[in-house]
Amino acid sequence: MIVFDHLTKRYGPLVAVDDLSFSVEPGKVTGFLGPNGAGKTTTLRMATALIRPDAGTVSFDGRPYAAIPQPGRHIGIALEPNAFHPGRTALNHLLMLAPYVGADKKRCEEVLGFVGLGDATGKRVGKFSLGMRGRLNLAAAILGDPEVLLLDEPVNGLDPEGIRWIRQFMRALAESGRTVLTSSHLLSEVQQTVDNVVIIAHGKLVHSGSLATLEAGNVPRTIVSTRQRDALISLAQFHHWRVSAGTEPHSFLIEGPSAGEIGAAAGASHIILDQLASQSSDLEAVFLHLTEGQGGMR
Amino acid sequence: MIPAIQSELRKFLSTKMWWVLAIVTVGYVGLSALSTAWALGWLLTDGMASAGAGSEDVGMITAAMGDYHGMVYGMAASLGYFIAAMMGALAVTAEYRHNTIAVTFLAEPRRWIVVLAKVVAALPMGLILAVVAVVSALGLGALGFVVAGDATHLGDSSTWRLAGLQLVTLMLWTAIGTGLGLLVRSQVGVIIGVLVFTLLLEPILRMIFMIFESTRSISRFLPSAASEAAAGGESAYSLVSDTGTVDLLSVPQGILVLLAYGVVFGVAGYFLRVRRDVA
Ligand SMILES: Nc1ncnc2c1ncn2[C@@H]1O[C@H](COP(=O)(O)OP(=O)(O)OP(=O)(O)O)[C@@H](O)[C@H]1O
Ligand SMILES: [Mg+2]
Repeated sequence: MIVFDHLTKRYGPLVAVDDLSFSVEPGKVTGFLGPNGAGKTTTLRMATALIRPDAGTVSFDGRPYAAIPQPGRHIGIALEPNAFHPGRTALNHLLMLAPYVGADKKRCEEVLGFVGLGDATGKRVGKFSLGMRGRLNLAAAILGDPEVLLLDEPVNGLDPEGIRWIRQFMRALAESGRTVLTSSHLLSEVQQTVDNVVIIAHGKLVHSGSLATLEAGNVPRTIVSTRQRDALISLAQFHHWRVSAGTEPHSFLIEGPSAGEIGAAAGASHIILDQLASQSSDLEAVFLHLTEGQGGMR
Repeated sequence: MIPAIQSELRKFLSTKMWWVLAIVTVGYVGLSALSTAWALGWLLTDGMASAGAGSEDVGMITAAMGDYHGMVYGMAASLGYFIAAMMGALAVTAEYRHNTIAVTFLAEPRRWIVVLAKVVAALPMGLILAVVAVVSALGLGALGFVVAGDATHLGDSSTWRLAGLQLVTLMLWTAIGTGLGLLVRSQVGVIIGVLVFTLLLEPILRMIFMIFESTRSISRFLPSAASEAAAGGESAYSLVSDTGTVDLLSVPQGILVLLAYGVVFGVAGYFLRVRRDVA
């Protein structure tokens, strides 16, 4: 269990992370979501003692990161997409970390093979593509076979095959009882993978819970077209539906009821609908709604 | 602590920086030793003879030259010290430049251990460069003397003592460079800093300190003076001293002063820089 407890980080007047508290359960993949600049990277760096919080703590099974001996054997971290010396080979990058987790050369090669870099072990990282760097970063994270993984935007730069692979990888880890926390600025990117979500905006927590609790907040959206504008609006007001102008002339967006409910109510009120189309419900809209309410990107 | 040191050594050996600097050392130290040995050897043998100097004059001039073999063989440290310092410094600043320092701090969040490991690992790193420098100075220096027809004195115990002390001195300079790198963090900053200090600022300071009786003893504690002391007492500054000799510390004192510089830079680097947030 990872516990983030009243974490705060200020950069001058900017409160990058603002009194943030949540916890991350083992055996689950937790998505750590928020728009650009929300404070995800800052939070993960505070968790791993790279930067010092102004207030609050993060603990892993009760211990702060800096108090864990050989942390790489317990917590695997892929935070730094560009933290490589370009002149060093992939294998040498792992070998330089190996003494800290007690890994030998064979283990380094094995891990490189596992992340799909088996053919590039002797290649200088300076010649790596963005996706290959991402994979190497992941290889470094799992070198010590940790029970917790913290991944900052691990999907960045990966091709579709790589994305599918990393999703399966995270699922497999969680199913073996490990803890996975993976950040993203897109819910859709992690939607199929995560069990739980933690959503932040402007450094503040806006939602934390299972993916199902997020779905519960998903409001049906329907586009209707009619020439009886005033009648439709009074119907919506009567039923307390949210109505707004649609993109087409005479079209409206109604949030709340299902398309069927709208059709029935309109029929009863003798309102003729030229169009009645239910919008594909998507969680991304919920996510946007939650985070935009906080002002979106800074 | 041992994993951290091992990690630092692997980092050091897995980029090309060390052998580039080793080649620079062969070029700078080796060629300087070769040309100086050749020139001095020739001057004191054929050169004098062709100028019609008698054997008495040659003896007098040779005596006035002092231990010019030691001067040539001592170039490993007297010329190579700033390369050793640069090497130690670049090993650290490369970590900050490419942000691998974050990876290092993730692996060992107790940053003082990382700092200690870097300084300790600098000693074997320095030994590699030191061996290259000493072999260059002795090998190419002796070659110069042979070509000029002079004796090499390679078998003398004083030559071997000088070689050993220079190894120690250059190892310490690498550790000093490591401390400087921790303090400065910027690659360009540390290169300019080392060059300006060792080639410009320090010589000026030393000259000024040597002029006045009251400050002469302080000048012994400047890094280059301590280095000369540690490396066995050869000083290029004897040429500019009115007494013809330079007041230096003893060998152990010189070693201790160099060590102190490394420790001071390392501790200052830790408290002023290393503990900061890593982006
Ligand atoms: N070292 C710093 N100095 C000043 N401001 C900073 C620093 N690091 C981060 N910030 C600010 O803190 C806020 C949070 O940044 P952070 O990188 O944590 O966001 P993020 O959620 O990871 O965003 P992204 O999705 O773009 O990666 C941003 O407004 C950013 O500009
Ligand atoms: Mg980020």
